[in-house]
Amino acid sequence: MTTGVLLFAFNTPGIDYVKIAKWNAMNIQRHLNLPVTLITDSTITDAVFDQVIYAENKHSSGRKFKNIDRVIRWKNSGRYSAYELTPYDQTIVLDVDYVVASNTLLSLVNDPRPFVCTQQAIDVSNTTPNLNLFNKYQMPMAWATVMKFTKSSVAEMIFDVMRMVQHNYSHYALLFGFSSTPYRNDFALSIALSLASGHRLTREYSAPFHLLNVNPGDAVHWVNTDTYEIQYTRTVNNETKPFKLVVKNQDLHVMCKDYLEKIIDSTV
Amino acid sequence: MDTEQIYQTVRARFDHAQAKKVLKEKYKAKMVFASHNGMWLAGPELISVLQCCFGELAIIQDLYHNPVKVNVANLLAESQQRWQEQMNAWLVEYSELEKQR
Repeated sequence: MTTGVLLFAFNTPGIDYVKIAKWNAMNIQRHLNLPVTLITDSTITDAVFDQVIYAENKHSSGRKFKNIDRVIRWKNSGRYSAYELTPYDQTIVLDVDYVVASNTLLSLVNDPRPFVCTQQAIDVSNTTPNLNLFNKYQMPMAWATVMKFTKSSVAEMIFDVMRMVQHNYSHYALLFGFSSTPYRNDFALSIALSLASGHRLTREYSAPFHLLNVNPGDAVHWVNTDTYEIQYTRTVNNETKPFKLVVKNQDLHVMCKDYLEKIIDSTV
Repeated sequence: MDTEQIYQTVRARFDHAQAKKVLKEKYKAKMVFASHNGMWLAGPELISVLQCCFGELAIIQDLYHNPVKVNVANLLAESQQRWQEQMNAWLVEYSELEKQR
């Protein structure tokens, strides 16, 4: 059975996702020793990828984050096509901003379940409440940042439902009570898991580890290989105070992509 | 980096409580391992269950509540080894963390 990692990278005017994907592909090979396939609309000449699959992704949406004074644009639709596009029997799909700094993901390779995703996230700075619930009904959130699937009827059904949710996103936004813009893969996946499990909430696809998120408003600095310093502010006794912590050999979902680009520019 | 950023960087306190929490998450993830066609979380609970089993083979629940037939001695050795390896590594990092200011 072939196993590999699939990354999606569609550049937007503000962020070079392909550059981040190349850097992360090197991290993946170093820690997981797995081939990496990139799905993109950019021309790739580097040999860092096992395969490059060209696909179009014209739809982009903008998202305004707390603590950031501009709208971040992304092209994140079409994630459901991972099932059809993957060249592997067993695939780990990662967001490019998921920084691989350990071999934690290898536990997914040995996981016998046909579909796994992260269903519990932790905010590294502990400043964002309710990371694991969304919409006005407080539905449990599934994070599409890390997904593992094997070619199977279960995985195919989940991706098919995800496609249906994406194509009828306004309807599901109204039904489940969340904003119809921007499109969020996490919401589509959460709904897909519920529908595919017979309209019930389930944790049966949950990864055996938590997703560690670094907020878009936080700062990340490179200390040395696989060690990062995270700086953030928190209100203590009605006063905003700066804090920091150092994370070593720990995978991170770094949502502050500006800092990720700076790290890549200074280290590669 | 402008003056304000330098000022904030210098003022930033090391967040021991969060660093401890993140470290716990890291080592909890490292306790997960695959064996005997099942997924396991190395730790006192699994070790206790295995020590309660009599005979060479036993059927126990894995991490995802699936019944799995296991060789008790082999799985016990694997889980004890992984648990202690990771606890040792955790202690080393925790001790370093305590020194951070």
